[in-house]
Amino acid sequence: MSGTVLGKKAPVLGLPQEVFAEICSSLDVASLENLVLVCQQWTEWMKDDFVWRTCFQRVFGVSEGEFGWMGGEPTSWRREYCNRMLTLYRWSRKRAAANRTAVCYRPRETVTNMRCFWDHGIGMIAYPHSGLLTVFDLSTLKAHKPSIHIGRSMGPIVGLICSSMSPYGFLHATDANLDVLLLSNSCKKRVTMKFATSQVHEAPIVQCWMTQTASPKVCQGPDGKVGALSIDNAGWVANWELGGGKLVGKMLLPVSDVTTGHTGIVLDLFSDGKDVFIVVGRPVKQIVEIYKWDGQSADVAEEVEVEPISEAENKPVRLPPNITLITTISSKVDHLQYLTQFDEKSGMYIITLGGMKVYTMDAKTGNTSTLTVPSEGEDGICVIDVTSGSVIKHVAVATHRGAIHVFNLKSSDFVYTIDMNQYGNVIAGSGTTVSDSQQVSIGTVALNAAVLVTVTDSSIISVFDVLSGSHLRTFVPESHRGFKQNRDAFGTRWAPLCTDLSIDPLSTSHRGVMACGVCIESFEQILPDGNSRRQAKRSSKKKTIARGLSQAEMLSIQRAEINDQISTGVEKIKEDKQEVEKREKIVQKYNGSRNGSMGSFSGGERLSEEEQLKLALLMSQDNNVIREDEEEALARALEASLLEAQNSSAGNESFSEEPYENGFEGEEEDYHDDYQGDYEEEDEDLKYALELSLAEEASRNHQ
Amino acid sequence: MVTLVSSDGVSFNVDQKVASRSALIKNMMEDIGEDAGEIPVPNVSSNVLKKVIEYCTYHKDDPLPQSGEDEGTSAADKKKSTVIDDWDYNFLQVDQEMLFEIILTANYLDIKPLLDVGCKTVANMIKGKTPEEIRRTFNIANDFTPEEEAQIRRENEWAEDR
Repeated sequence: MSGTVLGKKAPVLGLPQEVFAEICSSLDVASLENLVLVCQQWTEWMKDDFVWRTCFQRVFGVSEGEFGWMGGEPTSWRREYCNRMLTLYRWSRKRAAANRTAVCYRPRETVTNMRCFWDHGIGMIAYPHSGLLTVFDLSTLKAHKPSIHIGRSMGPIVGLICSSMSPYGFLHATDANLDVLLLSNSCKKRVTMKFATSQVHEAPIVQCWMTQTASPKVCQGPDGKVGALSIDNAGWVANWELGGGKLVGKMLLPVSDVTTGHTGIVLDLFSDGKDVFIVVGRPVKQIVEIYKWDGQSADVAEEVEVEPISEAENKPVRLPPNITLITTISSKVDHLQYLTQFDEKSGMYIITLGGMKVYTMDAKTGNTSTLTVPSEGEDGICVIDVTSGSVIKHVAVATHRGAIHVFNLKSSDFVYTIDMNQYGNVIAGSGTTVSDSQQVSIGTVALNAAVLVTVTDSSIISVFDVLSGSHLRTFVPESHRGFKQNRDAFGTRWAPLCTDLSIDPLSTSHRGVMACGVCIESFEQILPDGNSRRQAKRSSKKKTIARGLSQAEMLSIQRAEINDQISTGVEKIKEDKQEVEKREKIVQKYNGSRNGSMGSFSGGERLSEEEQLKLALLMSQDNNVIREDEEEALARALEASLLEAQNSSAGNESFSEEPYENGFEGEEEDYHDDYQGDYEEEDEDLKYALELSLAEEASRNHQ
Repeated sequence: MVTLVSSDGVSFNVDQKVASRSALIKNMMEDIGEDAGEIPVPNVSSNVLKKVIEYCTYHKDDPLPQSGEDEGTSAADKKKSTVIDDWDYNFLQVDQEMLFEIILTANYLDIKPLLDVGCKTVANMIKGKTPEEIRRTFNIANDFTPEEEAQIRRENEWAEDR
């Protein structure tokens, strides 16, 4: 077709389109746009959906029907791919630094229920007391204004879910009503579904669920697909078509049937997009039953007798014809502490009962298998958290003894155990013990295809390699440092207990968000492969050492450093002037209000974020030439001298003092922690640059 | 031992383990049985086949990429390894013609890791370059009229609002 030089075709044009698509999948969006302008053949190919679809599948590992389109409806693969890549790009531009931001949306209410929808880049928090729902952007942590009022007195929020089909949909139930809010950029639609159980009684809904893998048209109109499910504690299960709130089917599950002695409670319900699964616990018999329902209405009169499938079951159950008991799990425990996790993609369901036993169930076949948790003592284990997810091959089980047991999801084989008692209390490399307690209690655990992240109750985040269980890094979130210093003033009232943690399932880093007391924080660190991973370790070590510097000393060195760097002609990168001015105003205002010694940070001396990043990068590259053993010796020497310096200037510990106090005492409903966030950001950058340069200088002296 | 015969008639004796790096040859050996004898590899010249065998020999003990059910995971794994390891990098320091021949062969013989690393190498040659620089890198002639080029630029504009 084209692309010839002197009659000879350029060799690259001999590659077939499938290989071309493969190459494209390793490129960023900007480069892809440039490819279109190279020659006619490539222009043609890039117009073809095939290339974009291949890229999409290679990068995100999912094909059509397995994900939700970002706009809610299918558009071109090109648009979808570019949009997603750009979302990721925006993420990666947020510099690789741990716990960047602490945002406090509602200073008086502890976050208990947070959900993150990484596909759409949003997170949601429900505040049960004030009846508000806050939607926030995952990359900036900025809240979408205004918060959505979902009612204060109507009852608890029992479900909070975002369908991947309707980017901003969520669902909650109040008493006997099921509320579904469909929010998107353009429309805001609220559908209230009256749970029609009036023939029985108005029982509160105990659980609701929204399918995520049903037809993409699920928000568009009636198509017979399951949209939302709900169940009340009398056993009425309803199945709703999402868009208009139309009832698709309902039926009464014999949860509590006095005549057969079947006292039970509904523990959970979920759907694989086709059938509905209902989990019922029967504490007296110490069993858990899982039922499968086709989602359609059935006449209660048509009950059929079902033979018991387990020995523990000695009386036949009477069930409507379109529902079947698919499995019974017998648990020899006297209480039903219950945690579950359902993964739609693999169809695997994880159940833990009585906190003692963990099962996985294949929703298609109903086959269950037990995860054999290694014994930790005579009194068995108490499971704190179980987790798994779509692109994940593993199940992590956290126990009250501070161990995390990891299993293979498919085979249920035990893979390894992480003993958090080795890591949880100690910040890596520094030898500093944060908590005095002997045993670590794990707050929550999350994993993706690359890393396993866990947060202890003292809010220390540890990151492990998910395949090997090897420790990668440990760090303390920003808010914790602030709170720690103010513990006496606040007492235990604001102790930042980590209540929720979510990491990006498709990312290969531990980019994530955690809810810590009243704050939402993001943490992120791209973990480079191979050699560079070692470098990352090194620089984190330097960071730890430099932390020992006294505040005043640090400031003076910082200023000197910056002046130095400016005079040696660091390349300026254009930044929006307004943005800079705005930031400076904020920082100055903040500094002013603190009356601290920090006020001398005048705007002209500060480097833009990007410059600092560049600088830090340059320096870290220089550092690579230092040999490992030399560095060890250096580090020790440096540490000793720093300790000395610290001792001599003890008492000068005003750093990051009372950052939250204003917020907590202020009257604003939606206090936004902007000042704190921006200030810390600048400061972290400076610190980082400084630490690197310090280490570099020291190594030069040594040589 | 199997014998691979290139398009220009050169025979290479290779270990079965090495040959089975290629999913195509692996399937062929399974179909024919242990004693496969000579396997012709048309379309691939001896100098290219030699290179590809060198790759397969070096990587003969790597775990085979899983196919089928673990699709999603392998894609995630692939995304993880955006870095080309040293040996592979040096292995692919060849002229462009050879590089593309290797990629084509990897595609034809279904040697996924080699195809991946080859494509990444090409992608690295493209990254961050302007269209003109890409043309120069690959010796591609500009076959657009100025009008066509302007037209494409206009069509592309929607992507700029980021």
